[in-house]
Amino acid sequence: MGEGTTLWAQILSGLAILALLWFFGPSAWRAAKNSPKGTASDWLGLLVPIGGVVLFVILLIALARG
Amino acid sequence: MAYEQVERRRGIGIGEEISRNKVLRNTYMLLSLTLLFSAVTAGISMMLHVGHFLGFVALLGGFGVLFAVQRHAESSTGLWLTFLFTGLLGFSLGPILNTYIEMLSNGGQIVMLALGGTGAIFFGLSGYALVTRKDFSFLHGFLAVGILAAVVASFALIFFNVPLFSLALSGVFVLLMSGLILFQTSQIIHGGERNYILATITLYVALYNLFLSLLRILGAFAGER
Repeated sequence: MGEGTTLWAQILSGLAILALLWFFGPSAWRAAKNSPKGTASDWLGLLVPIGGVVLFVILLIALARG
Repeated sequence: MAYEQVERRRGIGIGEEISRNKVLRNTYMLLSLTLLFSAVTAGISMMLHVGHFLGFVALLGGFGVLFAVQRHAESSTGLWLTFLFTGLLGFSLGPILNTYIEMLSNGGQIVMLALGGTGAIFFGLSGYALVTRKDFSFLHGFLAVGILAAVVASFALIFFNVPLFSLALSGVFVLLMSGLILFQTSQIIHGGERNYILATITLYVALYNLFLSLLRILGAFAGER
């Protein structure tokens, strides 16, 4: 991107950040306060699929490196 | 014990179960169509060699349409807006994909691996949520704050060009989007999400970010110039 377009991209990004925080900030905060809290076993149960994803990404990197 | 009796014990009627299956079926149907449509718009922007700035404008336009989709999610207008949203996001991918293909000698392979990896992760996580029927609603607050913070940080990257932070953010996105796929699928099967347009948008956003993050990670670790 040229210098002029970089400046425009920065201005638009700044506006996008403000818009995101303005529109989604309050609802995200409400969700964090009011959503059901997971038990220790709930979070442990999450480890299986997330751990699988991490291992799969490592496998993809190994595959890409050949 | 008959299926009906088991479901009655769980307090779920057959009608309710059918309604949830319908939301799931419609969501996957619309998701497939929107993915195909965004592949077409991505192909068009690649062929036209659209610049990064125009791609960025399309992405911001997509964010604007997202607000409209939420307002019209209960009507047929919401369906057309979903295609507009996914079309714009697909269009924004064109310049990024061209950069990988032109800058890296194995760019085509990296793009295909990221695409295949995204599909495999999506099917694996959706299958896990569908088979185990675990309730992931406890992730709601964590995902809402985490995704907002990550999206704001990714827009802020345009001010501070820190490659290592960008790579770390991609790793965070992979984890958050994996959580989002589990959460949304679980919401559909447990009746927390009854609108297939909103469910499609959520899963599409998860796939879009997952693909871009995998692309960045694979490009950084395995890209050859």
